[in-house]
Amino acid sequence: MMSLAAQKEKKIVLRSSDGEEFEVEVATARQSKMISNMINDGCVEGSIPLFNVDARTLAKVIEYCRRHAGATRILDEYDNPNEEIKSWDATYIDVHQTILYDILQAADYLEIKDLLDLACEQVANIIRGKHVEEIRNTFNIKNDFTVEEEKEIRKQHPWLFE
Amino acid sequence: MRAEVDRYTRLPPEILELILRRLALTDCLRFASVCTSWRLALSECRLLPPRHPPWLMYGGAPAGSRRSLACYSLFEGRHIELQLPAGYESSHIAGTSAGWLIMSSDAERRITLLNPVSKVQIELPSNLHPSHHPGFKFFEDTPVGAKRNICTHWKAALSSVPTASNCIVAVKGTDGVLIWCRVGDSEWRVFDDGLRVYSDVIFHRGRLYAAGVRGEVVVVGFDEA
Repeated sequence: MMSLAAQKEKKIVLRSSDGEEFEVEVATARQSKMISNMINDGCVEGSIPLFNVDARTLAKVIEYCRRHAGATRILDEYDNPNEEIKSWDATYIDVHQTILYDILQAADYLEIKDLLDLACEQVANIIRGKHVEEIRNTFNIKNDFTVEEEKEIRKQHPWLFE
Repeated sequence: MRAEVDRYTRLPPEILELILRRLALTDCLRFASVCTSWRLALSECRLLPPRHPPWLMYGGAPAGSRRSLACYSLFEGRHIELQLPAGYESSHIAGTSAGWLIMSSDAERRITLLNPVSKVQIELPSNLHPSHHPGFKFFEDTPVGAKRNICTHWKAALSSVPTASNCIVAVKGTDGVLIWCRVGDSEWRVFDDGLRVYSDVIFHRGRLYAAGVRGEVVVVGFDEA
């Protein structure tokens, strides 16, 4: 078991799907359960290839992990994230839908639960109160229901489309 | 900059479920009307989203149709009319629990659980004693003003959403007898712990709380039973 100070100094190299390398502190990398397990199993010689995460997304994810690893005290007395980290998170996740999608996928793949929760909450925030057509436009989703299906949906819940 | 077309429809079901569980009912239904993959996600979502602000149910449609249900969403401040599936024309709503309607058909003396939003229907066992049917009046012949020592109302409660495993349905009949079954059982069973006559029944955190007519309260955890 390494001392905390030694862990802090030790670095790990993550390689994105498009070949870019990122040197990160162990504490930062450990925010990912997947990478943390790899460190525990001793299989982090050289760089860790992340086939599903491109450089732009990885940089964004590392920014989150670094902030959360570096926060000395991110929980308040009720074990809820404190105001400072909450406001940092809110600014962090206020991104375009394209990046938000990449963060969702990366957080899922790398098993960073808090980041996945944050990104899902953001998607929910965007959806909340919007009409069906507005949701489609926002996320650029084509209506793929058949005419009959669409008719049935409107018949079941006409008020959804008001 | 626009998101690549239909990217969000390819999100894995687990992530779609995480999103759904953060939405209120109305937003869940709009979500499910966006595209086929999101619709599938809602239908496969095992647990109902927990954050539903309540709707007030105030009866049938203004037109008097017995197949629709008028609701008012307190959260959104709007009236919502839900269509009930066919077959409930002569049924009435005997109660609600966990977002489900407890429907009773007077003619058939049967109780069915109905989700008014997903339209899922669950049949309950048919060996009902008349006093466990909400239409039955146990004290019909008692003269007005006579002493009544039993709470005569009918009451039903669910331990959880009935699609979850091990959901228990408890019904207190107009004679104060408490019966119960698990969803999927073939028979109702009489709950007998010596008190025999109950005035009220509720579930809280999976446990049944039954109040006796003299103020006794019985607490039952069904996992241990």
